[in-house]
Amino acid sequence: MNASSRHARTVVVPLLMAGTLLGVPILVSIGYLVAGALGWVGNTSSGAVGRMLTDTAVWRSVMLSLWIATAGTAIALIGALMIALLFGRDRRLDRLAQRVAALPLPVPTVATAVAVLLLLSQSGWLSRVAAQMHLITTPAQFPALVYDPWAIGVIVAVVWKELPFLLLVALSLQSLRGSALIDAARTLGATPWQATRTITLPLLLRGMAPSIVAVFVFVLGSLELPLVLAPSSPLALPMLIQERRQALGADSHADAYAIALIATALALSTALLHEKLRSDA
Amino acid sequence: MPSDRRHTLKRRSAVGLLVLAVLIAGCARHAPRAAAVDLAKLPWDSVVARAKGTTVVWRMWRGDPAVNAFVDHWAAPRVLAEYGIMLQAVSGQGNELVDQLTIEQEAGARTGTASLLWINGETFGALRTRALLDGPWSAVLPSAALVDSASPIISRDFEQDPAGFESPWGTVQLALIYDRARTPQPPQTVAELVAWIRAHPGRFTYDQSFAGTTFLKGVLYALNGGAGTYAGGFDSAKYIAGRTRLFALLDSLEPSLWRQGTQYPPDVAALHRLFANGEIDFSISNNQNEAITKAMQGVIPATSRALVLRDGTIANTHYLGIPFNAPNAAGAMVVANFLLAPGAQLEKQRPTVWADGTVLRMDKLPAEWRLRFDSVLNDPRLVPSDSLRAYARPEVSPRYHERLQDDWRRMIR
Repeated sequence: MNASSRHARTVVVPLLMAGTLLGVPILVSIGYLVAGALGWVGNTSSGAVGRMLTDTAVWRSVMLSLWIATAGTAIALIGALMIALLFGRDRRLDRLAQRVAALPLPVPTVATAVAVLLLLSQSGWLSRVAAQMHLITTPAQFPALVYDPWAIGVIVAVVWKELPFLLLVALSLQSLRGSALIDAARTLGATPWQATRTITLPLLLRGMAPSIVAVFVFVLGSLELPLVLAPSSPLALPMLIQERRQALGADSHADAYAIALIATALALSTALLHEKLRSDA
Repeated sequence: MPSDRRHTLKRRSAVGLLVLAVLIAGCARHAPRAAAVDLAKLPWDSVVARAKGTTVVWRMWRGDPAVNAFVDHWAAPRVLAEYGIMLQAVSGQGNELVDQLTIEQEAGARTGTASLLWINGETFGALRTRALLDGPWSAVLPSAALVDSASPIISRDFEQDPAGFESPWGTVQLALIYDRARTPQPPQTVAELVAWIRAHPGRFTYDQSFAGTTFLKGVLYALNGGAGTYAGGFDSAKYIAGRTRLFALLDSLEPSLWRQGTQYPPDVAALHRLFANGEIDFSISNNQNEAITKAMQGVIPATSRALVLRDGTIANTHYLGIPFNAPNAAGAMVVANFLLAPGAQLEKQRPTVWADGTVLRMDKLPAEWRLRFDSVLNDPRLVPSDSLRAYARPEVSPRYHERLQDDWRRMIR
């Protein structure tokens, strides 16, 4: 057994298998999306992609979904970073924080969405508390936090769902890295804030980058949250795709595939952007 | 080295055998299936005999726990006991069915998985146009003789003739739901409803999906001389004229709707929730009896009542079909007959079970059955059946529903 055949067995073959198992389904689905959008499958007309690219409803949905994903991921990230920096130093607190952060993770997205609905709708728990405190008398006086054009309810649900995940990632990165670099910086005269800003934060962000991209792309394509919480106008992108897909006119199917292709392109661009930034740095 | 090579040889043979097995399984020939159209020519007893000991996979809408309970816990055990058929209900409706059957047809799959489908309206139309349904078969069912085939609601499915390709199962009629405690004097016509909405801003809305569009269709009929105006196939000019009037009304009502008409709840469940929580004062349902069944389930207040507008609301029938590649058409026919029989129709109509209307004609039934049906319908909270019939309006061509839904999404939402 020489080195090259050992290399083949332990590295190349598993890599090929993993690549095939993951890659083939992805390529097949994207291939089908393209075929559907161009009208090659499913009895539909071609030209759907062109139609969708010029349809204002599609762009409004894209903007809404991008807003939800960006705002939700950003707030979850900032919250996770703040908590990680506060609790990450002390080893016991760190362990406790990791356990607490892991608690909401198994909760399904739909359950989080319904919980937010029960809390924040105009007839929900917060609204009733406000009524008890005589701040409002009718449900309509409570601010519209769900089914609203800024998708506040959806963003709250996103933060609730994703902050624990990002926090776990941040905490494990922190504990792995140790405090050697920070100590060195402090010895050289940096204030705690300077040390955090120039060393800890960049290192954390670089380590968390794949998770941030994963969260962003997940929220971009998530159907359950908009289904329960999001406005009807503009409609979130996954809802628009589902609506066109289930409509009975044959043209709508091709539309749905075309919009799904646009959504996939958005997700891919995010991942590519991350790759580019990473290789630049 | 030798052991390595033997090891590799063993692994390669195993993989090779696996691949061969998969190929063989894929090419396996299935026993020729009996089509419903052929079985319909045989005596009924022989169809029942063929179905004994078989399994029927039924694709249906599984979104209502009450319906699921009726099918899984009442119908399935009885079908097993009486006919020896294992009934398995799985999820599948509308577009999904059309798509899957189209793919199976294009792939030349002569035997599919499902033998029975729950369908109506546009789905039936799409399946028929593409020759995805087996038939005709429904007229040979023994219980078919009891069906109210003179009713325009049952004999036409969205103006399409079932022609024996689907067997009627139940009927529903759209109704508004109001809370007697909050709204003791509800509006009775479309005009009164419009006035009520303007007098109570922010307390009315309708949903974006099927029930909302059906409600709008009823208003469309009322504003344009009745359902008769739209009978006889899709007429684009008539549609656009009617739509213009309807959308003008909706535009003028917008400031008085919930959230000033800028947002609409996604579906009937969300609408019921807004109604139950006091954000709005009316809900809508495709089944007039939901005022009772949902109140019993605790989803809406116990003081809820159904309201059928005097301008008429849309009633329609839902049916059972057999796909062209059903593996067990005999079993499907026996199950369809069981569900059409008075026992199952009565059980289905109980408010504690599902409260879905029957397709049977009362005067074709023996007296004892008529008494039983009367006692089930005799709830003071329900809309009396003669009012229901008087205000029932049939569905028209499915194209109207499609266009109205699309245009509403484009222009109003």
